[in-house]
Amino acid sequence: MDAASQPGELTLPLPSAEQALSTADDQAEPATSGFPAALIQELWLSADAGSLALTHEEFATALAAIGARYNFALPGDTHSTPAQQAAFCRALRLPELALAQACALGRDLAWQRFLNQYRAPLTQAAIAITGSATLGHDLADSLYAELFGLSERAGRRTSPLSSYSGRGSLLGWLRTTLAQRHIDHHRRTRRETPLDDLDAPAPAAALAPLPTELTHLSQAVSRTLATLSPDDRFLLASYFLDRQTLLQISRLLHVHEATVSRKLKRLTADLRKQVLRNLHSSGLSKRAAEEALGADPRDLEINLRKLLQTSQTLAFSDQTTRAHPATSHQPAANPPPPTT
Amino acid sequence: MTTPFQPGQHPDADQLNAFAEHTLPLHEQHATLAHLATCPDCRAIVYLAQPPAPEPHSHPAHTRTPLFARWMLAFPAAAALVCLILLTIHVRNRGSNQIAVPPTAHIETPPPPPAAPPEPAAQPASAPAPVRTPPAATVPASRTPPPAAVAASPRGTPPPVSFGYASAPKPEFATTPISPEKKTGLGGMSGASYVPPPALSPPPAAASPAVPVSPTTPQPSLADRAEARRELRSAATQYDMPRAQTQKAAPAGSATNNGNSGIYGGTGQTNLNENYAAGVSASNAALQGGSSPVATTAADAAVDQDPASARTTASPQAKAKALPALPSNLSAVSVATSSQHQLALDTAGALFRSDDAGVTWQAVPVQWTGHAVSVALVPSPNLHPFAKSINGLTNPPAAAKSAAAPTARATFQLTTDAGDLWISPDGQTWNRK
Repeated sequence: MDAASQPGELTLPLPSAEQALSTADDQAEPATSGFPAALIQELWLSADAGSLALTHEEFATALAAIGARYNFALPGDTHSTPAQQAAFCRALRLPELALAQACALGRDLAWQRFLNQYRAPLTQAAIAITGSATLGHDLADSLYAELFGLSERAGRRTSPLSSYSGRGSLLGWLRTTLAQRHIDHHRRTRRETPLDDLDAPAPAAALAPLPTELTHLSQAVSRTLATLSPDDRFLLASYFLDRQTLLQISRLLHVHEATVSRKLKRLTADLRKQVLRNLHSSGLSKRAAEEALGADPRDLEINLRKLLQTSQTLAFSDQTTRAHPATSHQPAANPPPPTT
Repeated sequence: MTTPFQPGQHPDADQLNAFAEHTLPLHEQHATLAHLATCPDCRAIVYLAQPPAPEPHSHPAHTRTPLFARWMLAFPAAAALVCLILLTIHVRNRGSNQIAVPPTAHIETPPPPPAAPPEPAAQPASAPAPVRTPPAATVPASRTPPPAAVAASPRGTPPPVSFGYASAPKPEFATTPISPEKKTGLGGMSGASYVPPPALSPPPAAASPAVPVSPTTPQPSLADRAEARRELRSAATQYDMPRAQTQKAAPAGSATNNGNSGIYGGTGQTNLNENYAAGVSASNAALQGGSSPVATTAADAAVDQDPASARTTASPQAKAKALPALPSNLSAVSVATSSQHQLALDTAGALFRSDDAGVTWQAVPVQWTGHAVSVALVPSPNLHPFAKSINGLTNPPAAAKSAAAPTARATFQLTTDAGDLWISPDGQTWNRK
């Protein structure tokens, strides 16, 4: 129990808090996390963890846990050197990490600072995500409660802030968490849709055998999409399936908008060539392959979403549109996809 | 995280946030991107978690205005300016056209009523012919056709009247006064203008064999004309016939036409002027072999027909300038000229008399009842049978041809609005006819 807490205020009886209090007095002892004491001292000072009532031990333990989770940013089973570990730790957002850890440990000073710094941006982000002020405030309040550790797991109050690694900004992490909670909420509410509103799917009609050309075309498209790289697949899925704008894609990929446009144009052209090549390899002449590409897409039994994505679920945007057409906050429709 | 995400396993918020902020190591970036390529929910989380796009700068300097944006405002202004210019030009043209209308059109007499059929010769000369000329000032100028149009119109062009002596067409006369210089050009005989219609042919060559006046016939040169005029004048001097007598003989000829209602065709104008009388005398002189002093006068008039015909085509402004300047400052509506006197009637009905060829005018006291509308020169009551024969469009007797012109005298006749006729030998004293 924090002595500074007032009656009626929520306190977090986290073991780590008591441990932090007990270990804060012994700063001279070697760090149990395996980091050198000088590095811990350096990082502790740079994070200004002292102002958040966060001890060296608590801070070093958090850093060790984060390094072990992400293998100090090294791929696979590569063992990290102390230098790599130090570089990884220095690359983290230490002040925000210290604040998140302190909040997770239930430090009042940390919570005050957190509320002062992130309350308003978090509410605005929630409103932006939900597209509604009421829903945004509700979403932000629910996240506050969750962050404060009201939920218990195995008899212990846990706070999502403890999962913050410091590789990204704390505000970005909060926005991402808000988006996750919003989608989770949407999933829950979508499952509560009355049965009357559900349209029973019609029994599948007996599929008529497709013409040979269409069969060849479907197979060629499937083979072409299967060979796509993750980058191209992500680009096609974002643009054609999620109907994200070029600007949104470019911001996510940290490239220019024109670059995304060029990539899309080149990608569709390559896809057309690849499909033609696959059609030609399947036995069709060049003219027949050209004619097969001019077939009506509705005649094809091709699920591009299925081919592009492994997941069989619909995109969140499509789900939102179907469940709440009026409250959909997806961006405007993109230009029609180029014909392949 | 060193291994790709397993099916059903999704990256946490920290991983997605690090991916969005491009802080992941390369292998994690690829792994996360591969998962995002196949997981629509994680893509949705990533796109939803993105911070709002920075608003574009709203600085005016960065706002691009479309090309020709200012021209869009200039086009209507230019169109309005062009319309204004065209309207101004149109108005000015109309104004100039109105100005171009001769102001003398106000004194043009309106078209007369349809010409009466030829009356028998027994009809007295004092028949109430429509000789009255209403005040032309009331006729709008724009509605008055030009003289040429009047002459060319069916109503304005009378049928040619044959006098029986030859196939000489009847000249047409107008009461429009002529300028004093023209009167002198006509040998001092005419006070009224001679306005032959353009379509009319000039007197035949028999009337003036030496000086043909027909525009269709070869015109003599000016030297020939002058020579002919000198010969004729010398002949008049040789016979020692006073000029006044030859001038007095002219009204006798014109008096013969007075019986023909005093109107020539559609002109509706009084025909009493010496020009026409001279023409008739010329015909008589031709019949007499050209030895009569009247023939001299006739030849003189015939010679002067050229300028008269030229005057016919003169503009209405010239005609207005030829009007006598009356003391009343009103325009004259009717003018009658004898050898010694000249009478002019203005639009107010006042009669003025001039003894010096229109230089000075004196008001004639009103001795008639009603409003005077026209004044004309008519033959005196002691008409010669030759004149009557002319009036009756019959061939004159051969015995009467010799002494016809010298005995003919003319008097002034005034017509009032009530149709009363007043006559005066000198224009000063008037008596009811």
